Amino acid sequence: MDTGKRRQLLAAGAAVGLLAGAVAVGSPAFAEPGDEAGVEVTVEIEEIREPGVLAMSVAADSVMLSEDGSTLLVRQFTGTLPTVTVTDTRTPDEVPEGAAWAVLGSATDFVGDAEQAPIGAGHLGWKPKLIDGGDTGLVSEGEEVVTVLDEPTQPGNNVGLVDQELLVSTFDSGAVTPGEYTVDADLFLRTPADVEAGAYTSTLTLSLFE
Amino acid sequence: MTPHLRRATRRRVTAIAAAGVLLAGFVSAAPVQAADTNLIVNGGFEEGLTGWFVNNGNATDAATLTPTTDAYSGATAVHVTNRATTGSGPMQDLSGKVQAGQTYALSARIKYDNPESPATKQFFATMHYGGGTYTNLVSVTATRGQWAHFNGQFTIPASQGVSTARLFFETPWTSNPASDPNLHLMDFTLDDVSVVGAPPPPPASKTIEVVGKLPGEHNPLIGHKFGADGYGFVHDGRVYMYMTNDTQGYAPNPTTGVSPGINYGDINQITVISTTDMVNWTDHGEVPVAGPNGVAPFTNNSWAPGMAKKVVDGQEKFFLYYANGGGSSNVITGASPIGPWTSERTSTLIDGRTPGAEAVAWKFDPAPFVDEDGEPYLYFGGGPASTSMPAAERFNNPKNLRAIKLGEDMVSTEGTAAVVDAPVAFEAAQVFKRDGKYYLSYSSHFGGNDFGGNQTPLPGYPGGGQIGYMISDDPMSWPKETYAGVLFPNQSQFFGTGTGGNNHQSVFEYEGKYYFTYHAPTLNKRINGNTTQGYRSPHIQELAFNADGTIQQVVGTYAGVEQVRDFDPYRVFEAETFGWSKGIATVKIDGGSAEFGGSAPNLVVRDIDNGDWTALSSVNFGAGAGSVTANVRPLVAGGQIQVRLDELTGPVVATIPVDSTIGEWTELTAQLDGVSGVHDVYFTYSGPAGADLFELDTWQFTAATAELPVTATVQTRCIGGTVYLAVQARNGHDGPVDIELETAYGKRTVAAVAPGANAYQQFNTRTATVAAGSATVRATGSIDGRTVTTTHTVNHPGATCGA
Repeated sequence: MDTGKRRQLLAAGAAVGLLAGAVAVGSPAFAEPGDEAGVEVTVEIEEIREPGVLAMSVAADSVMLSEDGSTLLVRQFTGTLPTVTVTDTRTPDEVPEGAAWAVLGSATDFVGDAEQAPIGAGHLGWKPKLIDGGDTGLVSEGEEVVTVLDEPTQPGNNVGLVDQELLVSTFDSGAVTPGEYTVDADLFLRTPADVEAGAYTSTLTLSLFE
Repeated sequence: MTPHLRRATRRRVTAIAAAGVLLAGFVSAAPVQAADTNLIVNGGFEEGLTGWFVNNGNATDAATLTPTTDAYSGATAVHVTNRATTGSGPMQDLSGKVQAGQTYALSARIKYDNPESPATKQFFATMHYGGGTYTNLVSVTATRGQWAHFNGQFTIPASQGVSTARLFFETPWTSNPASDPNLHLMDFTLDDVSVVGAPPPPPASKTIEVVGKLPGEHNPLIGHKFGADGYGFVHDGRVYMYMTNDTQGYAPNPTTGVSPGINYGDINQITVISTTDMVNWTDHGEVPVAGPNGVAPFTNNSWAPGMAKKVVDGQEKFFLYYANGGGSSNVITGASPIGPWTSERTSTLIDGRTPGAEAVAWKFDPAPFVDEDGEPYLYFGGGPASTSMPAAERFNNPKNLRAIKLGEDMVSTEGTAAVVDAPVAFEAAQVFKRDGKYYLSYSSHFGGNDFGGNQTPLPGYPGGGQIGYMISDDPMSWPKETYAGVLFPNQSQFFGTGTGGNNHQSVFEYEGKYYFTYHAPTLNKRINGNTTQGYRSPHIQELAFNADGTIQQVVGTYAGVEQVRDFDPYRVFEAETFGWSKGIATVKIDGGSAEFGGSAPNLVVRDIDNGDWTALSSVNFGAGAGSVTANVRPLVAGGQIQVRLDELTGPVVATIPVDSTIGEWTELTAQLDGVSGVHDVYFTYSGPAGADLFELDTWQFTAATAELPVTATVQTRCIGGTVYLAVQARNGHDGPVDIELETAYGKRTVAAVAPGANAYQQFNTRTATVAAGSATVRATGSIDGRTVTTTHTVNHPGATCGA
């Protein structure tokens, strides 16, 4: 289930809550015959409270990798994922019991601009870095994912960003809202030394789930 | 339990046994007594030279012993060659086996074959009672080439001291045997030696049955043995006290409990105790310094030790100086403050040959001092002043102490000894340094003819048996003008009747404080009241200085010095570590020390009777103890150890039934509940009356298993069709903890999780289906200063994420 659907559901829930809020009316008035009686009608209308939202933003829409740390066997190109911010403006009671958000990312193959052979997404790894996770300890970055050219550093994690990999998550959305959490990641593309020269492009898609 | 009561019980048991014998036989009218026993070990030399050595009563005695097949009976005898004196012959030590007043039958076979020797020759069996005392026991006149038979009896006079009794075989004495070796120094062969008589007496108990060091008090330092002339020495965070072993000749009468007065001539051992808190002292036993079986067998006595350490040829060594009686001083070398010990010398260090010491009557009481620049010095001397001086000078300035430089090897002297002109000096010079000044303290004399007759000391000079001191800028320069006053009055001023004899002091620095050691017969007084027999006990007081560097006069107290740190029970420590004790003794057994290492002597607590106890002062159990373990050797069935808190009759917090195999060392453990914080700990011993219950080697407490309040959960989650394991742990502790989260899919460590915060990680399984499994959460933090790791294993169900 993606967050878009979840967000709609949440909005519906908030509307019901708003209906239940009453319009305030003044007390009944009494008048003698012949009197002019005026009735003051007052109403206090509360500001419509926007339901809180859980949202994600990315600080930039591109990153250029540059060569750094190549060896005789492996060429390495590194960069930093633009800062990803998860913002949750919901109140804890707006968060369904047991909900927990997570941001996952996956990359497409790197495609050359001059018909070079593509570089598989398995050659792109990352090491997420939590910038601000609050002080509960309940927001943490995902584990490092290394490339198909590497030995695993955690069981089975030398797969690159082919499938969705965890960038950041919380154990319990209700315990960390409201709040704003930021994370980035070291990106590293590792190719064989004989990779064809040229410009390549890949798209890294980030998805917020809850 | 007193020795009297115990003995009465034993006597009753003996009487019952005797009655049984009489009923069964009615044949023997003689009193029941143990059969005569052969006291000689390996008399037939069938086990080679076991038990035998060459008489070494005089320095000139020498011979070679060789097993030979030319035997009278059996396969082997001993052949004696290269004899240097008429006394040069095979010897066996019977000390402790023969008794004064007893009669023994001596038999032995002897033969000589030298054709140049006379046709017949007389031989003696002789006893060496120590020093220059020799008694010919039995003689035989042998015919050359034939086995002769020593066959006679001897009776040891009732008045004869037998603490040393060594039997040997020799030819009749002559002053110059080398003038006719064939007549006096012929080789001979000996076989089948026996000395039959009353069996060796059981050693009389020396155990001090009273409480000698009262709970709450810190003087005397120990209550289970004596120790005099204490010399404080600090190494590697530990205070060691080296003492004259006054207990060596202590021999309380089994009936009266009163020992003969101290005989310094009996003493050839140095007692060593140590502490890290100034109240709980560990007994390291005795260093066998002098005497025939000592480290330095060319000395007879070891009194008044002094201790220093120095790196010699790149190796840190420890040097134990001692008085060889009054005539000379010597030094042995230790690999650590508690040995092992070796002798680098073959003759005494300070004696009549020492330049500048010729006029010193007693060349004893050696106290070393190693200056900050590494330069070593030795202070020594004492006794009667030279009669060449006027009477007043003999009294006030006897010039009987000396200072001399030591060689870099610490076992030689350099140059000439300088006079220490200490007023009214008697003995016991010792030097320490503070703020660039050298302080020499010493013991003052008691007047009398040795010091020019009784006189009144000059104003400000010490009276009898006091400790005076001098302050100098030069460790070799001690004119009378450097005298600074009396630092400690006569001990009797503080400890009353029965005390007041000689004194002997040292000063040492430990963790920024200065301490003053002295002795007083306070344990002797606790045993025997005001009529003491001269057996001295070690005391310590703190030393305080005035702004001008002079010393504030020390007040002697039973309270002693403050405990400088709590005792740590969470380790293996020697059971012979006592804050206080009653009725026990210690003995060295084979093997090394569990606490101090394989080359350190291994002592155990022995003579533990019903009602005896030992105690430790200010033991810190921290958050809580979980168990106590004793390494114990049961001697009878039915013994028990109770562990009590704060006082002898305090609540029992653990009981260890000593029910393991009798005679075997075993570790026995009891659980402890609810024991935390700082307490005095009393180990009280109970069991059958009249029996030694068990021996104790070590104690060990373990802390209760403390747990960090960390809670952990693990959840399976489906995100994007993949199963994740979300592992969370919350720190409920009051301090930061490091938390490690581990699953089959990865591991994450979060350092310093704050109180109330969490460690969390979501592990990507990279599959759509996982089986049930678990996550492991390890939290490491500090509880009461101790590092504790608490581990939780949290299970999770299997999970499948639908596409």
